[in-house]
Amino acid sequence: MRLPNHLTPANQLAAKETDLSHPQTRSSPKSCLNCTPPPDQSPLSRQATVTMAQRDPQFNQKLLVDTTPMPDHIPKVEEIGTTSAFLASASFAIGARCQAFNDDYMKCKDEANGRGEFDCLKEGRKVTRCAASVIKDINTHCMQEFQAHVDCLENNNQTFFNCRRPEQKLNSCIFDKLGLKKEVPGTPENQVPVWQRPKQMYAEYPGRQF
Amino acid sequence: MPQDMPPSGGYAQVQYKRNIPARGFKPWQYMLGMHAIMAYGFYRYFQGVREQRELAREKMWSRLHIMPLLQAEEDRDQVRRYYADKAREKELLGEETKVYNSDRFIRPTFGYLPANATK
Repeated sequence: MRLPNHLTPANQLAAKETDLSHPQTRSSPKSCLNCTPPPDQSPLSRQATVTMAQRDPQFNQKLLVDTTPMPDHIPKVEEIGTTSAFLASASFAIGARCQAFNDDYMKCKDEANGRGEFDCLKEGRKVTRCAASVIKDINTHCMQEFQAHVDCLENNNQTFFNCRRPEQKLNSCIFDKLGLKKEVPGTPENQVPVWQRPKQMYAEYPGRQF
Repeated sequence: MPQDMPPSGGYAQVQYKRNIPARGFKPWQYMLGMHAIMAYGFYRYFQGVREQRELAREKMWSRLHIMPLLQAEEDRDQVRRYYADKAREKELLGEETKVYNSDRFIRPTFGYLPANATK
């Protein structure tokens, strides 16, 4: 197979060098929604002259996120902004205080007939504000215990059963200071709840946890 | 010729029985031991199953309590992008077109890619 004369590697290299020496001929970096790319750079012409294997690789390793702010007619709310271990640690406190808001929001979504994203924004803001208030209260009253439990969760693949000792302290602090009790619906009545058992069968440390 | 006769006092006792001492426990004891070990194993196994069930319940409810929070954040983000798309469409086309014959929120198949890195 013979390549056409203008596609020999030497010619391609030369073409590339000329391209590099004249950066203004390349497509401009600013937004190109309305403008048309220059003719020698248009994807169609490249496709016609260069086969797929000879094509320059096009990598895009930048994070491209649409950062347009929310329109003004929708009230603003500060996002919760905590990482997963903090949320997991505080989840039962959030559940204890925000149960009504959470149920309200999920019910709204359920009954919105596919328009929950638009119609349940108000309920969603309440959910976020309530959870943020819980995180704020824990931070003001039980910061040490909270941080200890979160660190333990981070070091143990976010498994609760490896972190019963810090969890016990955190739970008692939250109950004393905030009055929020950890409860798991459906736990059998006639046995000690699993988070209050000193011996955890699946914990990495086999002895008594606290 | 005199006939060959047994010795006086008779022949000595021939030992035809094996005289090997029985080693170890009795068979029923082994059976019992095996069942005891098995019973203990099953006891521990079912204990573990019950604890696993409770741990799974705990994990699931931990997630359920924060799920509305995560969903609300995601929904707000989707709505923000939706309105941004609408505004962009209005700017480019001069009018708002209705793509789907539906009032529902439909997650867009294609996202808007800004020309410059934004983050």
